Amino acid sequence: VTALRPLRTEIRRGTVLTVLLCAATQAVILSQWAPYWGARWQGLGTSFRVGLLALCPLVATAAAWHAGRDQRCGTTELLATMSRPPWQRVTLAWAAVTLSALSGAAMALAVAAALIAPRATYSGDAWWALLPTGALGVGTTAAAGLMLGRLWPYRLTAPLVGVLIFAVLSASVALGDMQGTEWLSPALQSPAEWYRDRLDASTHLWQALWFVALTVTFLLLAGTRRRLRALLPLAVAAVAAVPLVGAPEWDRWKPDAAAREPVCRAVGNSARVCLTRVNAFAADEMTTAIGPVVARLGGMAGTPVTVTDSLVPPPGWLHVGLDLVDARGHLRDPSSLRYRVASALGPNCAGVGIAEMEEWMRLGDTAGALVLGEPEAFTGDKGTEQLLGHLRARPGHVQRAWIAQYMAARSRCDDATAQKLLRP
Amino acid sequence: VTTAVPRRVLRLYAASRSLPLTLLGLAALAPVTWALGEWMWRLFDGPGARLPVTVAAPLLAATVIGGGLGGADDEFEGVTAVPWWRWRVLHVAALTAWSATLLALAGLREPWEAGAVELVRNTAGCVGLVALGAVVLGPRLSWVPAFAYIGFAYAGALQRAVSSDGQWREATAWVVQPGTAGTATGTALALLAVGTAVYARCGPKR
Repeated sequence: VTALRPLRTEIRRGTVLTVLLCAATQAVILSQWAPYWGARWQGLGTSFRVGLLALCPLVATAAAWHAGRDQRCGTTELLATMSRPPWQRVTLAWAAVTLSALSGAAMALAVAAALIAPRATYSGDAWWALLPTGALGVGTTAAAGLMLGRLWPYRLTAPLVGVLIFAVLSASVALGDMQGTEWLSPALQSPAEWYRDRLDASTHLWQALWFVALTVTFLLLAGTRRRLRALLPLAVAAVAAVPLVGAPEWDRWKPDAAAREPVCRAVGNSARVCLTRVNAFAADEMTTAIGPVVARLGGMAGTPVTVTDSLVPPPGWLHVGLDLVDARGHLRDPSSLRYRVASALGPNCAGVGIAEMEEWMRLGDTAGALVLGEPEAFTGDKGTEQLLGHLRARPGHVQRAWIAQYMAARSRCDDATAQKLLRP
Repeated sequence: VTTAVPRRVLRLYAASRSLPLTLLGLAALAPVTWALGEWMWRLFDGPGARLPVTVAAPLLAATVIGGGLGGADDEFEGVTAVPWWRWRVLHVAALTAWSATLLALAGLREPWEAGAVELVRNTAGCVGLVALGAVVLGPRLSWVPAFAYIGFAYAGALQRAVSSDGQWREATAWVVQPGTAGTATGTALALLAVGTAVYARCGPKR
């Protein structure tokens, strides 16, 4: 109880501004990346870690400012006469700054969680582990700011510490691709798939050990006269750093197989919409938005058509990206998905020449415009317009047959059939 | 005697505002800016990669300038028969010119793409914000408005919030606009003018 009283006083009297600033910063960060976390828990955890690039410098600045308080008030000598050892005061100040920063961030995260909970269709595989590891990283940057503020009590230390921490975190994240330094930073680079990848448990554990050891090192350097004592936690931090920087960055984000499982819904008799489980919350809206177009395409192509949001679609499935989600987990622009379905009919043949690719593009645009029933959807190329005009003048069954032949040729990358289709 | 008095006043003024240290700090910032810019250019293969440097270096320069926008006892200075507004204008103008020139030298390679032009513009705008901060919060916290603004602008919040209108976006997120953006340059210069005028008129918060 006696230890908690000064902490309560520290938090009540000195950290309101930190709470407000951290809450505002976290809110801005989350509003920026709503399409990646709307209705997805894993996306929320990833957004928190990616956003630490902005939050951590702010926390370090606040801690450095907090560290200079005694000198600004002229109470350094008075405090030196107290029986309470300096490390206790340093630890209290660190705890106050860290708790207030995390409280501010938690406010914004709680609002996001309240928006996600009613819509999320996949709770993830320990997605929440991103949060405590990130929180430990926030504590480490607070300790770094506090140490720098105490060791160099200059009037511009606080802003300089903020810029320094930002530069260090940016450099470690930017160099992560080449040297794996990203894993030493609380802030992470966004993975290829924000909500369908996860970090393995060993990364969380090594990072936790690294952050804790580094925090203790900084606090010992800031709060004790025998600074050699900091060598022990520093050695532990060095041990934890070796496995973290030892692997290339992308190896640590693993595909979450359960999040990528397709959840399918039939559209008429000849088409399906299969969303990955993590995106299944949008199935109703997506089916409503693209159902008629997909059903028409199924009828024309002669074979069942499956539309998916998976970045690695099975052979023959059409990929349509689903990144236009708002914070409430609703599609921001459902009408644009129809055009995405039409665009997905484009060629996917690798290794063809430029001239052949142009011809395939012309065929894909024509097919897309026919499926949409909107001739003006893919205009701009004279050849496409001529081909489209020619086909639209023919009866419906001829158009359907043309689409079926195109889909068959597209799946085989059959150049000879493509040439014939250009001159129906 | 007539020349000795201003010289002595000048020396006292420089000492009270840590002017030698400020000039030295600004001079040291230029080679660091150049080295970081060149490193980022090589690392990410293009001059545009220097954008973080064109934002951070002027911010740091303005922060250093802001630290010296007040004396040891501004209240005492206020009762003297000295036209302080002239000193303040000269102080801000001279330090802005000094830092802008040094930073411009650091970004002369490809000056229009995250180079000298942006460095000079951002220095002007940041000094304006810092001067306003000195009036409202005092020299010790004069960096807060500039840091807050740049944090939000750099995070893209301002760009997104006003994305409907190009001119409005340039004016609000001026610090991350290309050097060719006239409205951004105008906004930064206006900030410098307003900040200097308000600081000259009111002085630092006591």
